[in-house]
Amino acid sequence: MKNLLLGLIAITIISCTEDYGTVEVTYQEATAIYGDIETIRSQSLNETVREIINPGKIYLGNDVILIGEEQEGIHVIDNSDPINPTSVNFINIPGNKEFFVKDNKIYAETYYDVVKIDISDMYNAVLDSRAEFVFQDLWKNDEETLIGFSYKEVTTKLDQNDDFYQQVLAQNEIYLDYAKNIIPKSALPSSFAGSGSNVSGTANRVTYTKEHVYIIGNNSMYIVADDSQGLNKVDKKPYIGEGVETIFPFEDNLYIGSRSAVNIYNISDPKQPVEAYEFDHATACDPVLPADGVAYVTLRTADFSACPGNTNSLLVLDTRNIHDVDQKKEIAMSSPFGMTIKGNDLYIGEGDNGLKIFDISDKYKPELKRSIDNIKAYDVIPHPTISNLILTTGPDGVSQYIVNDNGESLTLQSSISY
Amino acid sequence: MLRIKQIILAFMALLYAQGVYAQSDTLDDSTYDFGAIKYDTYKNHDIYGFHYGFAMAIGLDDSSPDSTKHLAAVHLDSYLGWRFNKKFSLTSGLGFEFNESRISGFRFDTQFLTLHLGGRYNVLNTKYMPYIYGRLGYGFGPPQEEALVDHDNGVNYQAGIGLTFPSHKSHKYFIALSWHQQQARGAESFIDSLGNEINTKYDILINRLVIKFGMEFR
Repeated sequence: MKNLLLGLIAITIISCTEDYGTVEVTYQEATAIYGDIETIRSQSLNETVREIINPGKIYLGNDVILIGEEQEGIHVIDNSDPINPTSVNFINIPGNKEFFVKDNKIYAETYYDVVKIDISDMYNAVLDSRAEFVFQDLWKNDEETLIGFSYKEVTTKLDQNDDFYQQVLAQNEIYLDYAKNIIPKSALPSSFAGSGSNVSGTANRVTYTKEHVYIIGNNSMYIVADDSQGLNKVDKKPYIGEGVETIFPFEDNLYIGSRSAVNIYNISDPKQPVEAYEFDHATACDPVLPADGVAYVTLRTADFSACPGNTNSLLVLDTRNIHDVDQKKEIAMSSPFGMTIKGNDLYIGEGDNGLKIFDISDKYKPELKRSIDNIKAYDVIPHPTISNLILTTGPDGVSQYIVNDNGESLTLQSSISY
Repeated sequence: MLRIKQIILAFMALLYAQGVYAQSDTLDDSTYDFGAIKYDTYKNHDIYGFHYGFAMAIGLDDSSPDSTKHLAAVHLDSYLGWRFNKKFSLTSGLGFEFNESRISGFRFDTQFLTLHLGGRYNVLNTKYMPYIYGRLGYGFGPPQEEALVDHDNGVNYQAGIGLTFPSHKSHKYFIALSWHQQQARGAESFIDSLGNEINTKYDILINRLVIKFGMEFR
């Protein structure tokens, strides 16, 4: 009797080793978009001005502001009068998310290609050159050419044994392959590509130096030469790290920020970047801003974001020897995004938590100079020609501020809302 | 990985062996002495009064080769109790319980600080004393500012069979095989290898077989 009782207990227990319940899942459902790549390539470049709906990368020229419209192209805004910026043109670049500007030339990715566009005349952009199939060869599915994916938020409820997750992993090879190779959008909601004084943004996926365009995907780097023959793809480094997000050229090096490291590539030979050092850090979104012998790295995380974790800080790295980078300081932050240097000041956008200005007279020991809570900034950049003007990007648009009394206060000049 | 069937069989064999042994080593062969059942080897079981103990429980993994079905659990427990007689005692305790759950292929990690009340019944008064027990508790989830685990509080209960080893010292060891259930509601966010975000809200009953090892003092 006792053995029977124990046997019954054992059988009961064995049958109780599975969890029960439901999961409500919210995700972005990707639907393939097919089209004719030659038709896309032959579309007209200049179109009538339109409303800014989904802004991305922003470039600040001497008298022009370029604002990317995600997946569609670039708004051209005449900023010769910073108090009254005016939209004057729209450059049609289908599929574009990331671009860089150098000497009145836009270098932009567009689906499989990279294009070089001359904007010497802001009213009439001209296609200078195109490198085809830089990122991958043509993807075909049932004889149709894949040109992208549209996304829709979907919420569904799953029972405990629903194999939704396994199906997603197993049946989306084409999406995974395509998305792995095509350039993803920036880690920042909107950020500066750079400015007319050759100040580069800190959250770029496309950059230009030494007559080469460098473009980073999720874990690879593409190199396109820009010579008298136009754009030509010269190399692809298939794996430079996991979760690669930003690239910044400085002197003979490329500083590449990924979610868990800063990698420094030497480009003495611009066609053959060679890794010089890897500095590992806590997993986070991490724009990198190198300067003379120093690099500033912002680490940003948040609950339920693309940057999960609990590290928000500014790292100060000694980069005098790029083969032995040393962390000099770590400063706690709230939610640091992009940054820039103006004189002896380091400006860091803290998103909804405002804008912080650090004194970097001693570049290895930044001291907080001022915290401005009412300016919500994802990124910040100085105007290329007006020395006391800085621009910020935030949730509501691009704003221009006059810097008073050596950074003691900022006065709003104008805003481009979206 | 521990295999459920192997553990169950080993545990059953242990209980069966002690049952046979008990036929020749019953209470008749022992004496009561200062609130304890004392055996001729001077090893004993206390039968009355205050006691406290500590235990650790580990989840028994699913034997399936499919790694997505594997479930992990680590429970740390402490309790205070009162023995009413040689058969029955009541306890109240505090535990930290970490469970890994898999629903629809998603993995959810939960952490609970549990307060519980329970009772134990010694089935036989043998040298190696088998018992059954049950407890009812309430698990408190982590504070909301905790970065990666976000779930509510929830009721839990546990029932099991165990074996207490006799000792002439102030402490005794015990082992138990337990069925643990915990209600859990929460939210978790996942990022795939391409940086795409998947947000989930779960409402689950954690259903876990654990093997528990512990030490009890007087």
